[in-house]
Amino acid sequence: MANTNINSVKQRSYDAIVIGSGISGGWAAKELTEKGLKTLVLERGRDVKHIVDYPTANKMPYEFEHRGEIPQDIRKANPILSRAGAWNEASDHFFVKDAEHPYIQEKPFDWIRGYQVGGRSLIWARQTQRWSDYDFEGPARDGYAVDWPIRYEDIAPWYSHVEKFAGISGNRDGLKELPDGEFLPPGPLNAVEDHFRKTLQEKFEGRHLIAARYAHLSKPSAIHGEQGRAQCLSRKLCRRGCPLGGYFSSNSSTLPWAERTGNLTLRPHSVAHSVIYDEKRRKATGVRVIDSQSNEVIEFYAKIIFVNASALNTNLILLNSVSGRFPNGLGNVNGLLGKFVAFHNYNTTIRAEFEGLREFATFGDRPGSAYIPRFRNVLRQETDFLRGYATGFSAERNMSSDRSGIGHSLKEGLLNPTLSGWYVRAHMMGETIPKESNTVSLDLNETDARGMPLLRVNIDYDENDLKMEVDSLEQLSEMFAAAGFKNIKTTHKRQAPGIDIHEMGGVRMGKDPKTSLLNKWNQLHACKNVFVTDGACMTSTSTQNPSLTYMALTVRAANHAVEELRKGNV
Amino acid sequence: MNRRQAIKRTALLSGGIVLLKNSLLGQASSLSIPTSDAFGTKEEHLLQLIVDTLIPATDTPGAKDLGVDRFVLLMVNDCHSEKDQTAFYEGLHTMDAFIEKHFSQSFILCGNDTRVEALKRLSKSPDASPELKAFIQIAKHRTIQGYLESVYVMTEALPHKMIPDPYDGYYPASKLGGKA
Repeated sequence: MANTNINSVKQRSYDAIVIGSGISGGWAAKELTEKGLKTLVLERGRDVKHIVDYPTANKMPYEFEHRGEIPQDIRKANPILSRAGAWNEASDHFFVKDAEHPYIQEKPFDWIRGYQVGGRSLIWARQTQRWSDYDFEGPARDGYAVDWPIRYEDIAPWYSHVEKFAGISGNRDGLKELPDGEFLPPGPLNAVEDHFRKTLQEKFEGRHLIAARYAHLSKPSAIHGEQGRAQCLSRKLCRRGCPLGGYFSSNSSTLPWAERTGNLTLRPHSVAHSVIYDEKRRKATGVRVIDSQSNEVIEFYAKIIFVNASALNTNLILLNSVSGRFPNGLGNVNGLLGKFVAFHNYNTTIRAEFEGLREFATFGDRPGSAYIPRFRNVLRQETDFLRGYATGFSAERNMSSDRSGIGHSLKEGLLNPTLSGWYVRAHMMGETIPKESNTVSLDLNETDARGMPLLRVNIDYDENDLKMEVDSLEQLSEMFAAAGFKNIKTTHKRQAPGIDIHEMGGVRMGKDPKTSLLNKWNQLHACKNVFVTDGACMTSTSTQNPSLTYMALTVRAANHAVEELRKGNV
Repeated sequence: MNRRQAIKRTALLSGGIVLLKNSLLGQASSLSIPTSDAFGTKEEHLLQLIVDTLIPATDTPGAKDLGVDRFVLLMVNDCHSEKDQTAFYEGLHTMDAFIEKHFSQSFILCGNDTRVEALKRLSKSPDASPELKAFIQIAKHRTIQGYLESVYVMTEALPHKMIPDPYDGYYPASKLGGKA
């Protein structure tokens, strides 16, 4: 156990501890160190240094033994990870293998994890949209979950703060349902995407196609230069780690920035076991860590603690932080910790062909495509299901080769690709309603190799999701037909929750300590010097890709924490 | 023990060299392919001839020159299901009987044009077994991939750009040979 020698305690004491170095933990580290706090960042995985630890970043396709494919025996050993589309021979080193961190699926749940410095910020999808009040007011208006304790105006300046530093490419579209941000120049749309945009404008009131907003440096500002980051060159090899820093990750941006302050201590191989609670002082005093290399248990101490371990692991750590005051997990007075977990629904896709605009093609490449904000139930309830879905949309025209021949004709076909027709594709991103029955909890018997209890995951879809899926296919089919798209093909799948990699909730924010775990500053109601600002804090999910909101909530909470610390309130 | 392990083990026992873990495309290699019941010298030669028939040498290298037969074998052994692997080796072992029946001589002795005809017949004929069809389909798919993603094609024939050109969503189709 921990060495309680006085000097040693001093050596293990900091102003702040951040558990997790992913997309939100990196921001906590940046804000706290910039404000002068000696900050310890605990990361359960190995270190990944920007550029030097991106071993595949500049490899040509033929430098991968299986040209990117994961061999069958490895796939068989990793049925969960195998369902993650971003996992391949080039990105393999940033994904957790199934056996490395077991959990119990009471119902199928594909938990995709990245245990390393930077976490999943290295392998995220980089789509970044703000929430609006139509999102924050959703639960109160439609009667689910609990009311968010904040509104758009509370978070708007913090979105700006994050966007300027991270670098978000986007167009100022002036849409109330998807507020504009601090944008670098938007990514380009092509002729058919523009055609679809105009079709919606003319024929579908309230439905808008816009350039996707994403965390790529289309035109770096001075602040990005100071971070050592350069323009995104659309290599689209992001998940290998970007040597240009063309997209935002903790590794390329927030962590090196925090390090430069001289106030950062980054400790990889440190699995957070629990938050230490002092019954007498009635506050958290530190974090108990298992060193994954030595298996030693070490305690670190701080005045404030940020839990940013990723949504489900944050739940696990808090559930595992038991004390006399909190026998059911830190801050869990009402028994709601681990409940009301939700995610995003990606169950439908739709494809088609387009015979028009043949005079145009596309040339070169770009980091992303187009986006249609939620148009269902925005101003008022109008369907027999709650909430709605955003839609990703893209059109493309490729150089493709004739592969039908054998011999000379095949070779000829392969070496002389010709221009294909236009193909269009869309997919839904649906809000799911947080329910008390969607839970994560600790298994009472089984532990992992380090003695951490296994997480039991019990999360499922419901009737509302199914209705929304059917509606998305009907509406998109109608919109496609109106644009003259032909040969429309719909796909309605039922993938396990989790594979959306947008797991949220379990430690939700709210106004009332009886029905929520966190207050409007992301402090545990019952233990104010512990802040939760990753996906676990989400009261509802809306339809936006969630990372930008985690980042904004984190900087907002971190700045509040520093103020409260100075006032002696925490 | 699956087929892949079996092949490796047999290869080790019989003194063959296991080289399937090496990327050899683009370099003609003199290393030998492991020998086993499922894949010996005869099969090695046959597979070379198949990839050579699919994508022959002209004034530019063909698939065999680029070592694509080794790539096909590597992918079958490492990346395909056991069902595919069984079909592949079954097809490799039975294709000659099928071809002799239709072309009166073994694949190896056929002339170039006849070989092309033989592979076409293999993929289309109603009396080709499902294994034979699966075999030729896998062989063709992996040959095309191995060829297109060889060092030669990606650096010389159709140079691959790690950094693409800036995007133009209204590029004139005519410049890419497209018809309006």
